[in-house]
Amino acid sequence: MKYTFQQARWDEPLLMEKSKKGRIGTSIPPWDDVREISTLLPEGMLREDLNLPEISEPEVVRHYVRLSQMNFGTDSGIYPLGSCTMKYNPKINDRIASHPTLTRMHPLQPDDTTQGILSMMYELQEALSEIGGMCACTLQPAAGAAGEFTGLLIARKYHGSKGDHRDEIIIPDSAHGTNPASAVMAGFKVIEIKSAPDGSVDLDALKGALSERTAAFMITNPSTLGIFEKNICEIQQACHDAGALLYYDGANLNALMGIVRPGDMGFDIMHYNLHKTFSTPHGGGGPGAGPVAVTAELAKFLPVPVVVKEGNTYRLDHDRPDSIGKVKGFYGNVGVLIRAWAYIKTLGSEGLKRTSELAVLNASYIRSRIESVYPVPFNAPSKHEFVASADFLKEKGGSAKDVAKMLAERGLHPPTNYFPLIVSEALMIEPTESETMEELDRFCDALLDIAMSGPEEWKKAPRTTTVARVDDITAAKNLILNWNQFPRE
Amino acid sequence: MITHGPKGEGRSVVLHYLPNHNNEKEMLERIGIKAIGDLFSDVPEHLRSKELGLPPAMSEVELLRETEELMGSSRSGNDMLMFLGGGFYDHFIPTVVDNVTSRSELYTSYTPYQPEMSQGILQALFEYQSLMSDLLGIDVVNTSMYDQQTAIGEAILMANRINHRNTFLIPEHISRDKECVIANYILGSGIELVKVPFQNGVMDLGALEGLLGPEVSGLYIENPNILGMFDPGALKVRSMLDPKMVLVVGVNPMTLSIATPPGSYGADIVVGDVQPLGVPMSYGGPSAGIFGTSIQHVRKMPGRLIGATKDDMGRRAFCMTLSTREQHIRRDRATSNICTNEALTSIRAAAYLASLGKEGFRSLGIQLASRGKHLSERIDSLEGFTAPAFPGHFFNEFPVRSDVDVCALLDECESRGVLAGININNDIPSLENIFTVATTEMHTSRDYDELLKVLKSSREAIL
Repeated sequence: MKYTFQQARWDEPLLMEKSKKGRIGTSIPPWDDVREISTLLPEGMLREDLNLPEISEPEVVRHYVRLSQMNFGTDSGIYPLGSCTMKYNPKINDRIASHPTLTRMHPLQPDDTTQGILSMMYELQEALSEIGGMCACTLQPAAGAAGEFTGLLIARKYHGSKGDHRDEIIIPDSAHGTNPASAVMAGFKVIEIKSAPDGSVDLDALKGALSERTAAFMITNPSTLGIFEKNICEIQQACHDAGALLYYDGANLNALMGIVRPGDMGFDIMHYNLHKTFSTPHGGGGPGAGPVAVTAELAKFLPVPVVVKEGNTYRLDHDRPDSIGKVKGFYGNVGVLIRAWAYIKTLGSEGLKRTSELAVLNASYIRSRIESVYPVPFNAPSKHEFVASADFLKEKGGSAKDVAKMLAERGLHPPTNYFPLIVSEALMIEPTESETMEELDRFCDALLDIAMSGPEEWKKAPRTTTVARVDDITAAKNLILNWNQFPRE
Repeated sequence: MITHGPKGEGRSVVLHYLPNHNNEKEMLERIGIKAIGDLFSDVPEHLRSKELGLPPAMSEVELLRETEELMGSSRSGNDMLMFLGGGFYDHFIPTVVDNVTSRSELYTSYTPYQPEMSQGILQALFEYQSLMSDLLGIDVVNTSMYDQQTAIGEAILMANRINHRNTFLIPEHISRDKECVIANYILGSGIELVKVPFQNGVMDLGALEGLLGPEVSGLYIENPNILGMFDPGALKVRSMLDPKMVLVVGVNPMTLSIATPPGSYGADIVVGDVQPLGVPMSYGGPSAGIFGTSIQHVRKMPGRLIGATKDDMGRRAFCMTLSTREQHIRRDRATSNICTNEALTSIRAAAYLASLGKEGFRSLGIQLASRGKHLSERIDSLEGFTAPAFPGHFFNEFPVRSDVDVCALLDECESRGVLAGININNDIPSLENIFTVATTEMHTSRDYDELLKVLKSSREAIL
């Protein structure tokens, strides 16, 4: 197959390598009453040397434009990373979040000067609660993992308030790594249970693990395999019978909006990844936002402050004696929250439901086109993502990693690979609702074509990206973590 | 906007984000099923949602109109004179910083798991690590924590991983925001916090001496501190701690334009918030937490790191490294649960530092400290006010003592259209009648005249 993709390669120097004495990239406003520097600092605190690059404004712009051209985002092409929900990031959301009133709004302004923003935040709390089938919501956590941590602190406080000492969290072996890491940070012991052969929760294993020590059971639904948890009603029953709470990891909520709500499935606590399901850009790693919603019984434990509405005015309510306290400075990543607010306002109830339907349709479409070549190990219908296996390439010396690099070579971002661990040579594919049928076809054609090609070609890939295969082993062995650590030549 | 058929209240479903809406039938046929509902046949009927009760969908025009209305009922630095600090400052953001961080190839990308097609973001983050490492005077800086509050919490956990000691010392004078976040971060660790008393607006080193012992894991000290005061004790504390104790220093990175970096006075971990460096205040976030440490502790540190290496053809390349510390590999034994961080905000800070450069950053720093001094002297000349409230040096923020009730005073100022400062009593109950005032290069001399006029008349109104 012919393909013409070629990513930019600029050999762009580091900022420090571009530095030339006497250059500057911006203007400093004038100020007359400049004091002698030595009078401004305590003895011994004056900085001697400041090692910053000296670069003019056009060079700064060109530098970052070139770096951006050597990068691939959802605005560049399909980005079907499983469990990451790399959907289109609407531009109007950015426009609203960069409104000059918001960008110069200080977090410690009095509530009577921030009514508009507070009303947006209140509306978002309400909308997220409605979508999740929950009662109350905090916008404070900065990311999904921070949401998990918050939810588990709430679980801890809830059990503690009843004098109930519970110190274990049960987590399936297919869970995202943040789940066990968050549980430990919140002071719990992690009990991992094996998945059933079909990737679902093993009900017997769960029942065996549940005890009077279980604080909560954490799951995603659909699971990381993209399969709806068929035993959800039994799971819910078993957890609640044991006095444990049920935690919903919202990483996969894009499959279910308007179709089934976590609260209606019996979950007590959930987090949302606004940078996944609610279209806020991922920023090359962040910022995100991980709001948490809970049932009525748990509402009093939410972090302070929450936005409350009294008549027609909004207020940050700090006076909540049962609250767990705080998990982040101020009120959360407001610039991200406002984008999610705009997204929900744009789509409304029907639009969100249609979004989930089409996300599932797109994933199912890819699956139907490739599964005769890339087997999908579990015979259950897929939701917004599915996990296929590149195991069959092993006999020719190939791997999931090779498939990934071959896709990159064609200008298609690879799916998540080697996760979840329960599938050999896993390719975890989540196209999202944003991709056209034509783009899905292009992706499928490429996957099928790669399966037909041979190992000599695989190992050379990718040749059309900015760099060829990157030696990550040397990176970890000979650490170079800043520009002063390059070996002298 | 493409729409289909009228739906309730004359509304239509919004489809401009949903390209395959009209390809449903064709796609279903190729999948081999009849109706889209069949894709959800495994969801038990009794669990299915009714239609969600969200407000009706809006077109772009309507949404922008509503946004303008809501923003119109809020105020900001654009239409209100403010002297608020407390960790977030209304500094000028060079246009070029907004411009380069709006490149959508950068901001719509994920964590760079595929380094070959993500060299741009990787290099930009490597440059942030490098710039910040130079600024802090410390070997290694990760790509970000959520904010300074969570960075302090992570630092205390890391200190415990380094020396397995269970008492950690924090300043008596610390913002409630930080204290509450830290309390939650250490909840599962068995670490006990002990507060070091303050005297005259800075840490009391005599009292610190008395608190040190073999169970002490480390000390967190802020320079400048919550009052805005540089703490000369910061230069001395390393020699007071035993070698195993971990010194964590919290900084406002803007002050490092003129102040000696924490690495030079023995910090093992440096934390801070990048907000002053070109990040919009946005009502408190997103910003990014700074987290740096020395190379000997790198394997104990939380957060993502970018390393330099080569590609197959021997060319310079970048990739994420030391991931074995992180949750996706190490799970319940990871150094932190952090996954999504604040990468794009870090890149903002890097673009800001690169734009100002060596000379610009230095001269802005001198200006800010000069402005602080200038404004404090003018406030001090008013009857009933003492500025700074404690002896010593400060940057662009300083404590003011008032002879009237600060809460009433700040309310009076607000009613005159000026947010004059932060009532420090909310954070530190023992400090009465003190508020902090912060200034930036956004203020003009006339703004200072206005503040003085308002402070004077507000005080008189209360008396």
